[in-house]
Formats: sequence, C-alpha cells, structure tokens
Amino acid sequence: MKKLRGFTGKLKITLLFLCIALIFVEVSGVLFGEPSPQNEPSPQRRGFYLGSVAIAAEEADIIYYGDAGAEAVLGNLNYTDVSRNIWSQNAIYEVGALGILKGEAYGRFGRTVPLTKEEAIALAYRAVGREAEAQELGIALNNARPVADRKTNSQDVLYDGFLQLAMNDGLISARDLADAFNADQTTLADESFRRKSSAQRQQIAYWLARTLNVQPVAQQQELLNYTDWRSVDPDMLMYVEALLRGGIINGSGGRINPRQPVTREQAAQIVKNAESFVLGARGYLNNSGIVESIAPTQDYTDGSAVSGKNITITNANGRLVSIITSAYANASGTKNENTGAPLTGSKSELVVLRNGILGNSNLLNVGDRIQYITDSSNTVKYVFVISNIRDVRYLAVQISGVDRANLVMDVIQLFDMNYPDISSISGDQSFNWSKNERSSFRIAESTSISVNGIRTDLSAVTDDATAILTLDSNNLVKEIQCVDFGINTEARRVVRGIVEENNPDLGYLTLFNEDGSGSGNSGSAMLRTYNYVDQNKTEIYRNHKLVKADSIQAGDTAYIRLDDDGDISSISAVDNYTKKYGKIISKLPTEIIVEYEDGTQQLLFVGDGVLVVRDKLLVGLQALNDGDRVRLLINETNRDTDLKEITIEGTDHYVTNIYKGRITNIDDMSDKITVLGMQVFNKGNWERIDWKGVKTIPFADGLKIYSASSGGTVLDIDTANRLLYSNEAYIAVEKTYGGEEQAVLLSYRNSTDTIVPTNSGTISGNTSGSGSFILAHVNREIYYSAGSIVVKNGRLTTGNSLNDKDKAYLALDREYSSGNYYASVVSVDQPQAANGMILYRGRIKDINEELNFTLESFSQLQGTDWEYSNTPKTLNITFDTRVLIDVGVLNIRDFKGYGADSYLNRTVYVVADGPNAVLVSTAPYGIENVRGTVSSVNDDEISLRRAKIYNASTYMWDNIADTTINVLKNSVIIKDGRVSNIGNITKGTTLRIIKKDASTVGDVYIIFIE
Amino acid sequence: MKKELYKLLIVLLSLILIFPSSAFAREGICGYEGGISSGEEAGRTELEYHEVIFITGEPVVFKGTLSIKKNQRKDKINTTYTYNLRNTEHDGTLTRVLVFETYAQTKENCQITETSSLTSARENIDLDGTTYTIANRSGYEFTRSSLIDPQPAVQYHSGSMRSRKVYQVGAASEGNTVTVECDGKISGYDQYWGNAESLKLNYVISGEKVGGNNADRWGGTATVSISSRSIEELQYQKNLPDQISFEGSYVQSRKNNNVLEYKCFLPEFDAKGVSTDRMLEYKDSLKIETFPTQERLPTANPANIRGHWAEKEIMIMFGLEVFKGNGSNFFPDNYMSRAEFATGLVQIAKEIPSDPALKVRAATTTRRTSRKELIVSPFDDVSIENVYFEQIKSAYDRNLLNGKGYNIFAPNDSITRADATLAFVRTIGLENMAPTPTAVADFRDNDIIPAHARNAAYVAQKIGLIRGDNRGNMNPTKRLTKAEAAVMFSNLIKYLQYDISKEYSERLINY
Repeated sequence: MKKLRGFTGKLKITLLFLCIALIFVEVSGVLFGEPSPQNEPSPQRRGFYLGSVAIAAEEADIIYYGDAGAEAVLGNLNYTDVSRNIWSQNAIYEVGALGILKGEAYGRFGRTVPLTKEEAIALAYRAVGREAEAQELGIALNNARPVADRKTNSQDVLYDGFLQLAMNDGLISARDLADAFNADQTTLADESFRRKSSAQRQQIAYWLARTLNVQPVAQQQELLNYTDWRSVDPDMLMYVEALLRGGIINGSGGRINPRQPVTREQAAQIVKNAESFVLGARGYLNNSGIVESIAPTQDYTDGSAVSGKNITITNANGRLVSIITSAYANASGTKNENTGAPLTGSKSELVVLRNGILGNSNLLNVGDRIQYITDSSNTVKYVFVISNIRDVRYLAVQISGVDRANLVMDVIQLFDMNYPDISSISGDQSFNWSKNERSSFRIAESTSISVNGIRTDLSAVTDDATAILTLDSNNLVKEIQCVDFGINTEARRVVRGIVEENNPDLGYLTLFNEDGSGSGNSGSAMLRTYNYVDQNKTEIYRNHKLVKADSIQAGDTAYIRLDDDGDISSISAVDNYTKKYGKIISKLPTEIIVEYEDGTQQLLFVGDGVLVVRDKLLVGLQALNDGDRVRLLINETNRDTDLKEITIEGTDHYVTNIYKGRITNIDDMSDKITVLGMQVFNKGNWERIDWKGVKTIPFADGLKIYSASSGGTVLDIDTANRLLYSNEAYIAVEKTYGGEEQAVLLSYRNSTDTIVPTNSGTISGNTSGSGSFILAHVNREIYYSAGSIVVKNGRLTTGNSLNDKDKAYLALDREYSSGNYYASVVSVDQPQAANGMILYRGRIKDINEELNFTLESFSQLQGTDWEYSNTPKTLNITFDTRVLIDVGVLNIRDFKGYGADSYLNRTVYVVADGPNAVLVSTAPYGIENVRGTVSSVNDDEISLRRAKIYNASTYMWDNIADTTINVLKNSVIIKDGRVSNIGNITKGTTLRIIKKDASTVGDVYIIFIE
Repeated sequence: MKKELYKLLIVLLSLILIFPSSAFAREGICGYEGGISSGEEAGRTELEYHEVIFITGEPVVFKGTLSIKKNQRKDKINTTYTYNLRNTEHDGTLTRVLVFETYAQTKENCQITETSSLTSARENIDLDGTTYTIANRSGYEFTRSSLIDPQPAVQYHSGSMRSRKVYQVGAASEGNTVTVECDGKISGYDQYWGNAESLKLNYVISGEKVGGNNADRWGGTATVSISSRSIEELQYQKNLPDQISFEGSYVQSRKNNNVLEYKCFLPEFDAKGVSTDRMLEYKDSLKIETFPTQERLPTANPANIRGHWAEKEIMIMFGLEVFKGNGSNFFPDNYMSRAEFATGLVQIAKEIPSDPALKVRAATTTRRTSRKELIVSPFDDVSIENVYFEQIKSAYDRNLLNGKGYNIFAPNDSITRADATLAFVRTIGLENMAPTPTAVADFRDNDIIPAHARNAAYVAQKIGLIRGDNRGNMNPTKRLTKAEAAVMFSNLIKYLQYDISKEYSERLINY
C-alpha cells in the first residue's frame, strides 16, 4: 500500500499510470470490467481502485457473519403490496428485518392500514428489543387466569404482555390496561382505551420516545411551527417536541395532526427515522462501506461441505471488514418428518435490498456502496445498497456556470468522492487547479438540489460555488449539493497538517487530514500525499533549522508550500515530542522497559541516536540503571513510539536505609508509619538505631505494602492495620528534601517464618522471570517476589535486576508452610572504585608555583609498609590540589619554594591521582598501624574499641586496649581510595590508622575508613 | 415567536458598590530571596520561613519567620516582606524589610501583565561576628514581571525576576563588599484543588576585599530550586460503629508542602580566611510541611451502587454535591444529561479562591442602592425556571461548557464522552498543548472523534484524564452514564490535585 502510494507519486504520466492500475486489477482477478470511456476515472478515482485492490490483500479488521435466520426473514418480507415504487420500501424492509414491525397478514404488509394501539405499543417495545419481557409477562398473565378464561391465541397473549409492560413502565395508566383487558371491547365507552382501535400519532410518538429513552424537551420550539400544536395532549407535549426536533416525526401542511391515526408504512418510516436510537438501544451498529470483493469459499473441515462467500468491504472510516456467509450442504441425513424430503442445510445469509429488489447476498456486486446493520454479536441483520460506484459517481466540483434553460452546467472537476457526504472528505483537499478538468454535465429534470443542506431549486445554484454532484452512469446529474469545501482561499498552495508518513526515498510525504482524522487506511489518504520533485533541492526546515528531507518524522506538524504542479517546494516542520515520566523496570542491551506513573509499562527500543542525559551532561546508556527515574522524550504517533531522549533524575530517590521493626500503625491521614523497636540493616546485620521506643516514619505517595513470603501479596492500609498490628516488617526508605527519610516499600514478615542467619553471598543463576536465584556459596535456591526489598546501585529495583556475580548483603527467611528460602532484603554491594589513589611520602625538592612540585625521593604505601624508591617524583598542582598544614588549609598560592614560608625540604604526605596531587599534608611521619571499630566520635577525638596494632616482626595484629586518638587539622583521611573527611567517620565504622607510636592515645596522621 | 419564550425575571437586588479591582497572581508566598515559607494559610500572615545564603562563601541556612502584608488599591499592590531569621550554628541573625510595588494590567484577551519594583529595602546579617548590610534601596536593584493567564478553573502565571544586591561587609568605611546577582524564573498556578509555585534562581556571588596585600577577590555560583504547593486532599473515613445512619464520609484536608534544593560552587577558604582556587560543591535541601487542616464533606446512602465499579467515585461525587440528595433515586447506569453534567462541572471546577493575604482597601464605600436587574437566560432552551439554570449559566459564564449551537444548550440531551473530554480540557485551559493544526489522538477510533474534540482528546490522553478501553478505543460518541461521569470527574480532581502539581515541583527540581 505504502509503496504503491509512493508509486502514484512518482508517476506523472496518466496513461502509464492507468495501464499499471489495470494490470494490477487483472492480476488480482477482481472483475472490475473495462471502465467505459464516459466513465473514465479521474486521477483520484484511479488511485482509489489501485488502493482498494491493495487493501483487499490485507487482513480484515472486523469479521461479520451472515444471519442464520436470514432465509426465514426473506420469506416473511415477501410482501405482495411492497414494491420498488413505494417510497417507504427501505423502511418497511429494514423494520421487518429487525423484527420490529412485521406483515399484517401472510404475504401482506398492509401499508395503508392504521396501526392499532396494541400494535403501536408492541412496536415501541420491539424497537428496543424488549419482546422477550413481554412474552414472559403475557404467559404469566395468561396462566394466572382461570382455565376457562385462558386465551389460546398466542398473539393475543403476547399483546397482553406488551400492554402489561406498558402499564408497568407508565406508558399507559392502570385504567387503560383494565380497559384493554376487558374481554368485550365493544361495550367500552368512547373515551376508553380500546386496544384494537387505531393509535394516535401523538401516542405513538409518546410511547416510542419513552421506550427509546428520548429525553423530553421542555421548551416548545418545533411544535410552535404547527397550527394545531395546542391539540397535543399536555402529558405528551414534551416528547412530541423531542421527536420533532430529532426529525423522527414530521408535520405536513403546517399541521402535525396529533390525534390522527398512523398507517403501518408511516410507522415503519418513523422507526427508520429513529434509527440511531433504535440501533443504539439494541446495541446494533449502522455501517457503510464499499464492496471490494466477493469471493466464494468452500470448507470441508468438519465433514460436511460448507460453501459460502467472503465479502470484503472498505468501511467509510477506512477499516477493512469482511462479511462471511455460509451454507451447509445436507450431509447429516436430516429429513422433513411430514414429507420425508431431505432438508436443505442451514444457511447464514444476508437480507439485501438492492435497487428495490429484496434478496440474499447474491444481489451484492463489487463496487456497491452499502449501508448495513450489525448486531452486537457481529451478525449482519440488513443490507441496503445505496448505489454502485460504476452506476453512480459522486464528484466534487466548482461550478463555473449554469444554463438553467437548457439544464446544462459547466464545472471544474475537483475530485471524486466515495460517499455523497461532505463529512467523508477533509476540509483541505490538495488538488491541483492546473490539472483539473473542465467539463459540462446535463442536469436531469428531477434533480434534487440543496444549498448547505436546505432544499431549493436551480436558481439558488450560483457560479463559483462548490458542490457535490451525483452522476448516474450516463453522466446525468441527479443531485446537486452545494457545500463549502473551504478551498476557495488564496492560501490553498500552503497546506499544513500532521505528518503521517515521510518517505523521501520513494519521493512522497503524507499528511493526516486537517481535522486530525485519516488514521485508518482510508482511500482519502491519497489526497493528502505530496510528492518531492527533488528532495535534495527542496528547502526543508525542522524546528527552524535547515535539514535533509529524511529528518521530517511522522507526528511532526508541517507546513508545505506547493508549486504549480502541486508538488512540494518547501517544508517547515516542528516536532511534537511528548515528555513522559517513569521508572526503569529493566534495562536490556538495546531496549528499556519503563513503568509510567499511571502504572502502565512499555518496552521501548533505544536506538543509537537516543541521548541519555544526567545533570545536564551527556552520559550514555551505560549510566542508566534499573530503578532509575527518568524523563523520556518520545515521538508518539499512532503507528509507533520512538524514543528520542532519556533524562535520568538527579540524586534523589536513592534508598538510604532499610529498617526492620514492628509496625503499630499506618496512618493514611498524616501519611506516617509508627514503628516500634527499629533496627537498621548494616552490611547484612540488624543494628538498633539511636532512637528508642516508637518512631514515626513518613511515607511517600506511592508506598507499596506487601505481605512478604515467597508470594509477596499486595496489602492495603486498612487490612494491614486491622490484621497485622505489631507485626514485624521490613521498610525501605529514600531520602527526600530536607534530609527526611520517607518509606517507599513496606514488607510484612510472616511471623511463622524463621530467620535464616546467612547475611551475605554471591548471586548466581538468576534467570529472568524465574522468581528465584541461587546463593553461590551455599548452593541454595532463594525465592524473591514483589515484596522483597532489592536495592542495587542505590535504587529500589526488583529481583529481576540481580545479575550473576552480584555480591549482596541479604536478609533471608524460610517459609514455614513450604520450607522455601526467600529473600526479604537483598542489598547489592557497590563495586569499589577501580583505581584508587596512591599515598606517597617524601621531601619537597622543588616547587613550580601553581604548576607542580617534585619530591626528592619518595616512599609509597603498600598495605602496611612504606616502599622506598630513590628517584624523584614530580606531581602536578591542579585547581583541586589541597594543601593541609597544622592550622588547616593553606592557600595553594602560598605553596611556595622561597621566602620565609618556603615549603622546600619539608617532608609531606601526598595523595595522588595519577600524575596529579590531590592532597598535600604536612602531618608528621608515623610508623604504627592500628585498627579498630569506632565507639564514639567527639569533635576531633575518636575512640576505638577492639583495637589491634600491627607487629612488623611477627606480621601479626596484636590486641591492645581501647584507643583514643586525636585527628589533626592536617590528618589525611582516605575512604575507598579517595580523600574523605571526618564527617564520614561514625560509630561502628572500622578504621585503620597510622600514628606516631604504640600508645593508646595521641595524634593520628593517616586514617583509612574501611 | 421565540421572543415569547424569553422569560425575564425581574429581581430586586441590593448591590454594594465597590471599585473594580484587578486580579493579581498569587505568587511571592516564598518571597524572592531564595527561601521557602510554610505557605498560605487562612488567617496567617506570619509564616515559618527557611532561607539559604551564600555571601560568606559557604551556604548558611537561616530559619525564622516571614510576614507578608499586601495592600491593594485599584491596579496597584503594595507588598511588605519582613524577615526575622536566625542561625544557631554561627550565632547569626538576619533581619530584612522589603517593600514591593506591583502594577497589574488586564489586556484585551483577559491575560494580565504584572510588573514589580522595589520601593524600599533594608537588610542586616550578623554572622560569626561579621556584619553584612544593605542600608537602603541603592544597595538593592530589583525587577520582576509576569504574565497571568486566567483559564476557567485554573489561573496560570509565569514570569521572571532579576536582582542585584551589594552587601557592605563590616563597616562601610572598610569598603569590603559581597555582591549577589540573581536571575530567576517563576511559574505557578492557582485553582481550588491546590496551588503551586516554583522558582528557579541562579546566583552569581562575588566577594571583594580591598586593602593592599590582603586584597581578596572571589566568585561562586549557586542555583536554588523552590517549590511551594498546597493540595486539597480527599480521604474516605469509615465510621467505627456499625449502628450509625451513614457508613462513612469524606474528609477534605489541605496540605502544604514546600521544598527547596540548592547546589552551589564556592571557593574553599584557607586557614586565614582567604579564598583558594579549590572550588567546593555543596548540595542540600530544605523542607517545610505544615500541619494539615481538615473539613468534612456530606455523604449519602445511595441504594443502587453498592459493589458498583464506580462506587468509590460516586461516593466522592455525593460528598462534593455533584450528585445531590440522599441517593435513593440514584441509578449509576442512567445517562447523564448535559444539565447534570454542567452542575457537576461547576462543583468540581470551582472558582479560583481569592488571595487571603490581600486586603482590598477600597471596599469601604457602603452606599447601598436598589436596582432592578434583569436575568436573561443565555440559551433559548434553558428557562430561568429550570432547576439547573443557575449552574448552566455559571458554567457558561465561566466558559466551562458551551452550548450546542446557536442559543441552544440542549440540557436534556445526554453528554457524550467527547463533549465531556472537551469540557474538561477547556476547564484546565490546556487545549493548546495539542499539536497544530489538529492532533491525531492515539486511539483506534481517532477518526470518529468529532473534529472539535480531537485536540482535547489528545491532551486528555497525554495528561491521563482519559484512557482508551481495552481495545484502545476512546468511544467518543458514547453517552456518559452517571457512573462513568463520576469516574471522569474524579480523574479531573486527581489531575488538579496531584498530577499538575508534579509538573511544578518534583519534575522541575529533579531534572
């Protein structure tokens, strides 16, 4: 389809084009026949043929089926008094096919017979498909009667049911019903409700409006146009007005005759007029389309032969649909038990009205424009053939002159249309004025003429007006509808719209219609396809920058200037990207799975051109981790979703801590959790926090609460408060603004489960979707679920993000019921910085101010030993080089090798990152290595317990007493190979220090935080 | 003939004449100094306030109070900001009094432009024994301008500011100064379900110490992102006893949430207090949350909704009086008429509350006049006796809902999904978010969406007001049932409460 459209763009020689079109038609085996010369299609028409054949090869969007009851319906509708000359023919057959109003007697519809009251009520209920209710009521009523009084006529019983239903719904009064049920109708008084007497117009209107649920209209408007409006029953006034407004009932000759009877054919037309209500109430749909192909089908799969047809239709909205009819041959040996004749097999067929002839699907021809009604189970109930595209054409024209005396009109042909309906085309048709043919048409005597929907005559048709002409096969004008296409403007050479497809390789670009429609595969897309003459020479802007033709993307807003031939001379477009916010569920090599804030997930392809940005810095896809929150820039069209840019959220939403404690309350009014006996997860161990007793933790908007176990079911706050009071739970918290911690995931522990002592390990064997991994060193299968707190790269993620060889701290439980092990907490340890810094010690030989300095010779710390090298070492001074002296920071500009404050010959520690000095410290030389755990930090004083000192002769760490050390202003503090500060030393931290001597007090020169 | 139908009602009204007053944006609740306040609260002019300053070469957080006084006279507002702040760590105090003068001008398209200037300024900071002073207006340049765009139910504003403060460090005679230059962008919105304001401020701080060998000059930058928002939240509370005439009811509570995030690059100072080449990055955030105030909504006992898909939403709508009465005649699957929809929309998209800090001084004329006023229905088919007249007129006057053609409202017609969607998007004034000329909505049935509602459908889908059914259809021509309408209304409330505020807070600060 797409290629073909490009093809049409490229080909400008109409003759060649026509040939290809015809060859294509031949090849497809669709019998279009040879177009007759006077019926030669215009360029657009040709495009339509070509397009539709191509469509037929595609798969149908919807499949409809023939009706098993169609043959019976056709038998019923075989009225002798209805023929093609009857104005109400379509209405009569339609209401018949829908079972709303059937024949008066066998073989007769009784067109001019007035509708009785009971029939009218039945009609009103049948219109909305409530016959079954009446049937039940009728039978119940009859069974309640004394045996002698029981009615034997089924029809009467049914009508009793309808009347009862009408009374129940308030359509008639209880007294009316009593009158109606009176056995002897002849004795009733004149004003009584006689069921067999004819119904009044207003009654029918009222009953129908009530059952169809038409809203009454309180203010009379339409009614006042009729002289006899005062004679309408006041109770029914509002409903009559409503139906008048809807065009369902109509007056004539200035009167609406509310009390006159209604003939059966009028009733049929009233129901037809109310079609939209009737179909809506029954769940039916009214469709229109063009028959593209009719293919016979044979099927022997279930033993008996099934033959039928597959009728392919392009709907008015561009959808391709199929109607399938079938007929079973009688292979099962069934017979008529009265006559013994073999039964014909069951059939599902169509009720078709074509050119005034009623019949089955055999009547349909390729090219028929049809209206068809389908029910909720996709069964086709009725088909009306409007016209055939070969018999009747609809042509949009601009009128250049009308010869009223001779009934001839001169027009400029604009384009062909599929339906005689302005809504089927878009406002801006991009035809070429220079290419449009001028022609003359004869106007038929009986032509119906309208201007903007109002009936008029030929005198109202003005020159330069635009109109839709209905032409018969002899090119005689049968109908003129003057309408405004909105094309008579100077701006017609500039078209604009949303790009549907840009294909510069094949030389075309397609826009959606100006009103945003055209997203289906409708033939009208032809009209919105523009051709590049030479895309390399066409001036093309996107977002106000000069670009190449292939930069224009689907979904862009584009202005296109056309040249005289209707081809693209220049384009100016802007993107219509949208921002979406979400969280990365899983990062795959070239794709991401993202969960949006509304909970929906999407898989997006990450192409090479996708920018990944964090903190206003281009970082590349490798910087993106599972659990990251992201802003996505997306080009979203109805065809596909194209990712353009990923912005990773700044530092927020890192999981800062995991707690365990007993939850006493979750308060959703103040968004707080109260926790008793809180413990914090530290490297696989649970440690008590400073705070004693009950602590409240605020929770985030999207707090997720789970009942953990191997299943991990979601809990709501009510249930948790009601059933899990004081139960132990694991809580993951993130740090938010103001340094506050906020709970994001709460996972209740099942109190019957047992805690497993394993607290760390290496993950292996986590295949995606398995819901479990193997803990390497114990070779044990550990399950995880949505209730497991999994933290990786500081982000809360799911178990699926765990990879082989991830080293993790764990809190494991064992399920009581199944004996399975499951992970309550998995915290993947951050890998250490690969290349740490090097610590040197040496004497300064030379200082090049603000550039570098040289150590005469140096020692490098390796483990606990200083390794001496007798070579000079030059280190660079950068903007980030920091010099610490005994009073604190030395201004780097005062780090000089001359004058009173010269630093030449001073022995210093240097922390270097490659060739650059990061830190220079004048702290004294120390030899003793001590390690221990911090028991308290008090300003510059740190106490260590479990202290050990390194014995260089035995290579052993010997226990010593608790040690208190003093941190100097120029002490070097290193953590994970990087320069750190005293703020990172807290209670519980393990330190290795270098100090002067083996005593348990004194200054510390170097601190490694471990 | 139609003329007969105009029913005119003559009503006697007592009118209190007041001077016409201009609308002003309700911004400035946090001031323009890079701090956050506890936000608007009825009857309070003294707010809790936190601010971070960078003039010493490192961020210092001050906490205390900010009081805001506003006086309006015609199109001019005078606002006085008084700051009283302390920092315990550095034994610091900060006092500052600023008076701004703001002019508003309403343009033809109903947008309002606003310009502010500073009429008087005084600031004293005492920190670690050093004083930083702005003695008068000459030390503080300030300008601000903004544009206010009032939409039917939301008033948006956006503007920018620029300022330059020169502090005297120590005695004026020493000639030491710190200069703080700031440019900022301000955006926000006001509506019934919440308001938000965000500021993004960029600072350049330069210190200059004069005097021979001790001369020291340095510079640093800082960015401060501020978001101040309040939300009206709805929460259902089930009653504890069973034997009570209603099962539970909704509580509406107002929550203020103000956050500030700063990031600065400032030089490290050596042991003598002289700046070094090494730049330090500081980053932190502050937060003020106020104690929520609550209000109780009425409830009903609708008989026919128990267990319905939309039970929760319908109950909210009873609470908000979108559906009225005790609910005995409520059928959730009946179609909703346009009149009922208009009534609901007026209840949900309430008028923008006025600024509580604003005292309109001119409202003192008490001349009472009796005047006959003519009430005319804007629609031929809505008589002023119609029970829905007030709401339909209000919806029409506020441009929430249009008629269905010339002078026709069709109050008894059922409302379609497309029309409801259009009304919602117009209400929040975001129809222009759709691409021009007309968007292609991402629904399978895009082509049957009426052209006039297609942009609205696109926007509504993007911002999450509507979603396609499980086949990806919008079903634009389907008539709305009351239950469906309740769900749509409640989506609109959620949008006005949370989704829109995210755009002005987290998303603005974090990315």
